[in-house]
Amino acid sequence: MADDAFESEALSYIDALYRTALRMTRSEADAEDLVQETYIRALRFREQFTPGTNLKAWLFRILTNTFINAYRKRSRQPQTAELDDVDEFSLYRRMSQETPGSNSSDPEKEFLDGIVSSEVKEALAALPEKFRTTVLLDVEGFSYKEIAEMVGIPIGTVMSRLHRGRKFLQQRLFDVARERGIAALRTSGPRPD
Amino acid sequence: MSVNKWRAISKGAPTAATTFAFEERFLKVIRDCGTSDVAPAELRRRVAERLRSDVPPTTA
Repeated sequence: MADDAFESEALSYIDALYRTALRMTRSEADAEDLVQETYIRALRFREQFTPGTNLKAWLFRILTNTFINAYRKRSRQPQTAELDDVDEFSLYRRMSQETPGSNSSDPEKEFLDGIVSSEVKEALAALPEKFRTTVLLDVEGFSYKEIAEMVGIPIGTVMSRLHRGRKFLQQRLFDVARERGIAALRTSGPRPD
Repeated sequence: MSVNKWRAISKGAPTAATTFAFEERFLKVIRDCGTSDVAPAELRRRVAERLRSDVPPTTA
């Protein structure tokens, strides 16, 4: 790959790398340091990159390894929920139960439309770290196989972590919606005792 | 369980298809909202400078 092409393509992934680093470290300053470190390492080990292969995945692998090795220990650890009780949570089922008399023709759509971007980001940041990295890589569009290679875990573990991580996000966003009384939950009729 | 009782219970239950469709829409919302951040301009400038430099800097 020509130098200019490598640099240009590598720089095109900076937004994705930054937002992932931001959720990993939960600190803007640490996220900037982590992204810079990722690019420095990419330049240093550039000869190890095979032209024609996935540069984005290569950069994310460096980011993930750098985070695991250098940043994880000092990243701020907010209160995180355990995921033991989220496996059976079904947002769709809860929506059906909570809005039996909804005036809306599509309460699920109203719920989804009512989700605010900042709430999603907070929910992603609140994921326990073991699940967070896997979910963040999924959000960025990587395949199970790519995530497994980046994080160094079997594909089955990736699938398990994604399943539980998604359930955690559903439960968290459902709780936020219920607290704020948004969308479908606000339009529901009287709930039966 | 009698067939009629089973039908009564399952009548209001979501089908696998509707649940799957809802899960897909939910994931799209997560992906759309979760990928809206952009890197600070100053960070982009610093990284671009490093990428343009001929000699990769060393790290501590």
